[in-house]
Amino acid sequence: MANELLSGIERSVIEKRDSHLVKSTLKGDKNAFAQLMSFHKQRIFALGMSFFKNDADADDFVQDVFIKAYTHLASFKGNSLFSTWLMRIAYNTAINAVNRRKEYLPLSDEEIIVSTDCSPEEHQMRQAAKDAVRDAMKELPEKYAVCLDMYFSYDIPYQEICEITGFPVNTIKSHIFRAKKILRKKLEEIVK
Amino acid sequence: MDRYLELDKGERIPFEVTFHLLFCRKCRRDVRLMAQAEKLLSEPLKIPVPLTDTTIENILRTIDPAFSGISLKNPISMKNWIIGGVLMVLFMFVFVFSRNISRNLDVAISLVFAGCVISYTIAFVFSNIDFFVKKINTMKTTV
Repeated sequence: MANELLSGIERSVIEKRDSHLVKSTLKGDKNAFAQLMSFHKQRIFALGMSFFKNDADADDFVQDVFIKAYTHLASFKGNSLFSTWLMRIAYNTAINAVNRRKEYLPLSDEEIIVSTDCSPEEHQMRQAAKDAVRDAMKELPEKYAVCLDMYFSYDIPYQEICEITGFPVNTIKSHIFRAKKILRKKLEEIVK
Repeated sequence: MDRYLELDKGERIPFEVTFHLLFCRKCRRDVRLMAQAEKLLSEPLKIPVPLTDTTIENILRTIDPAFSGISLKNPISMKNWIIGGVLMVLFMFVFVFSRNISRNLDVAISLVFAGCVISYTIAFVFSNIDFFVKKINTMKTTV
């Protein structure tokens, strides 16, 4: 109960912060846009790594996405979170590029992101979560792998994943449900 | 438990599930572990990169060729916030106790003071918003 409340507060604080930075950027404040990039770069870079599998291309991808976002910033009306709007741009950019190139590489397949300091128990738990997501992905058509990453690694809810990817929300829900069942089993094994 | 697994991020746990969790130790443990694992998985992508990041600077240069570098605003130190807050409260006390305020002005002055306190709090929260986001995140981990 307390967790949901805190999630709600966190979401609303982030929403206010981003909307304030967007407004400042639209007024010509480049520092505000730099701050927006600083908050969201990790996710865009991680998505880029999943699609392009190398630092150089992922870096170009980040630049491409943020320049697109800056150019179209006036079209952001605040109907969704800024992060959702940005992820939609990133996802579409990646899909268009990847159609010409390679397949999607799930985040759980490689240490794409630098792991934060954590205790051995937390490390074990994170590994179990990664394994669970990877196992669930094996049973999915490749194009849906990104949904599991978005939910578990990017912390994006069902409806926003649907808005970003265009996949039906029920399909997303059922794939994530299956992944959660696998995760539960893996965590049980750790505790035993 | 399946009902819990169907829930979305930040979705309220239905009453019947909460009720079940109150009496089922195993499910309660599973829910706690699941929440912790999900949190650990999403944590690394929430870390902001420094504003001096080369990619950020390159993007800003592409957007504006005349861009000369990020000017980091000097944040107001905690000491100044505390001094400001204490001075504000002192001023209110002095104002109230040093004058003989008529009853008609009581409400108006109270509203002005309330407005000052609210403005101060909003300014404080907004200029330290990253601290609050991190704090909420930490609280979510410990709950």
